[in-house]
Amino acid sequence: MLTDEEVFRGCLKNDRKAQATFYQRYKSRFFGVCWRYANNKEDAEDIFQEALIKVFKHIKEVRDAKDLSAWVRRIIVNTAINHYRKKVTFDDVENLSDEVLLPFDTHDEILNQLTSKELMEVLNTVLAELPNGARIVFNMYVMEGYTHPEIAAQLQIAEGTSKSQLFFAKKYIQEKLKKKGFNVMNSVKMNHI
Amino acid sequence: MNKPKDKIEELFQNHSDDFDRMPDDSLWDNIEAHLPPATPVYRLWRWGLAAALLLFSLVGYVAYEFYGTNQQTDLAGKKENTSKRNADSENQEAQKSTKNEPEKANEGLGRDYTSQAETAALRAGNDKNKTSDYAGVEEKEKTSIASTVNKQKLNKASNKLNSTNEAVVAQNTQRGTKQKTDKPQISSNGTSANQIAVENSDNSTHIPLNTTETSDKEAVEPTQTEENKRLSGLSSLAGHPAVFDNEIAFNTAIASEPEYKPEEKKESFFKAPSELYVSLTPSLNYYRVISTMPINQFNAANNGGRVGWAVQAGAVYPLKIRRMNYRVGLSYFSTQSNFKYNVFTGRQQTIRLDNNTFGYVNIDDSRTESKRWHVLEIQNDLMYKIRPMHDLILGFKAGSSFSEKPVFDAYTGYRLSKQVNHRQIFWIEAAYAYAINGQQSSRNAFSYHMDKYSLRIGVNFR
Repeated sequence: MLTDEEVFRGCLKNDRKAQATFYQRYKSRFFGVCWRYANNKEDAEDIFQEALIKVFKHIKEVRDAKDLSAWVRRIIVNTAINHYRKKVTFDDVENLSDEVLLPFDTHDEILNQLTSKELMEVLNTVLAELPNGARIVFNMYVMEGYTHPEIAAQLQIAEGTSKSQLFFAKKYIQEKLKKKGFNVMNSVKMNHI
Repeated sequence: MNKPKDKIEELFQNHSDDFDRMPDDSLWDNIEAHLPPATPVYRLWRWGLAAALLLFSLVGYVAYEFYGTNQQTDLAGKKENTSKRNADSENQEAQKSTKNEPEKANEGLGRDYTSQAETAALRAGNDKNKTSDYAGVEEKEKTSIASTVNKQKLNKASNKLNSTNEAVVAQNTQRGTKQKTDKPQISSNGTSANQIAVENSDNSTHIPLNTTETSDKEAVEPTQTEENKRLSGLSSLAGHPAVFDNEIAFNTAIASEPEYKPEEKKESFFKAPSELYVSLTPSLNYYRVISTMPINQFNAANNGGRVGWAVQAGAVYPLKIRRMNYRVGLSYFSTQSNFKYNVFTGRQQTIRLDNNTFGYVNIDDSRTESKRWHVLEIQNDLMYKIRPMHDLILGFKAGSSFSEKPVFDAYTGYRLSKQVNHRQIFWIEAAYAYAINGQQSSRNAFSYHMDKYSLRIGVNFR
């Protein structure tokens, strides 16, 4: 079995076996990332395919196998952003300040219970229901660790727009979770892993 | 600046790995279709294996090419014949030149030493007096003639020249001093003939560089000066008489040798390897014990000791004999042998029998021996093609278990082959081998012999 280093070296040499191994080894992880940005499977597959083609064509830009995973994620995010660039509208929520987000911290009773794989399916569903703009900003800010200025620069929007989109996304997710029964009064017993 | 976090962020971040999803199986095909053409990956071991096989086949080929055949090429004969032919052709030139020489000299062409007749005369003088320096200079400065002229021809030429020179001397004598005063230019340009004539008549050669036997230096002083000037650039040869001793010999004996006829090249019994092979051979080994001591209850090959394996690599050479091929290669064999046996010690013990009598029983010495074998052998097989893709094989192997005694294997097998593609042939070979191992057991109780039943699996590369 090839090590990650060998797979990386093989991909550098455009070795098909190494590329296939890379795909098989990491497809679920990276396709999951695509899925978070997409709102349906078809879009996720389009993003994934386009991103992986870019990855294999430009993998020589990566100097070390250790950097490969982060680099691939960045490619996927950029591909997703490009995919939705023309379809995204950020005008559906008004600008809000950071303080507005604070009340969410007080509603953690529900979230304490959301620790299983099953619940992640729910989260995926909720994410997919988000508007494209809010979903992308949420993913970039929460999952990828971008800051608002970085998101604003990447998406070519104002920082305030990024913040409002994030706020909207969080509020939307919380509301959706409540609607799905994840609240204090109707607590779902979830097994901790 | 740290981002403000809330529970939703923590929730998603803590379970980011749980968002994994599986794409459709067909997605890789789509991706692969858009990738640039794959480049083959050549791994080091493949190159190493190929290099080893190539080296081995080359060694085998060279060994049989040189030791298995009697190919000889009479290069010396060719050389002599060539030089003889050259000498003949150039003798003709020498004759022509000799005829023309007096005319050239008299015409005052300005290069007195270009006269081939002069060269011939000098050579003749050199032969007599063993003063080869001047002739060596001529060898260098003259091109073809000086290097190839036949000695006999030259002698003739020099005799002719001597007679010519004698005539010139006679004429000069008749003309007396008038000629010298009236036509000094002739004297300077045409000195060669006159001087040579004088030198020849004195039986001495004028040697400007390394004068050893000049009989009358004063008489040839002006000429000596000119010759010194002319040959000053070649003085480096003065101290090397061997150069002239080793000049191309005008050996008349060679001329009388029969005409060289190129010997027909014998076709080699072996040809270049037609195939290279690698194979893997699992085997079942049954031990035949050649005991030197009385052994009782010999138990062998428990604990998996029957199974051995071997790897082989080598080359296949086609033979001139129809349907026959020769296979040579290296074989590495490894196995484990385990033995339990009792050796009669010769001592007896008294026991009480049922009828209250006493008897004697022999006392055995129980022993065990385990060995791990690593044997490297050279394999030599003759392969007879019964019909296409079916070969009968007979061969032997000889080798050594490295630090121990030699091992010999007699080997017979039957091979079935299948062509995979135009370069590769897959084959399976059921074989039986009888191995004689020179190694004895650690207590010299027995020798290791083996019946090996093996199934060789290999690939030939064309």
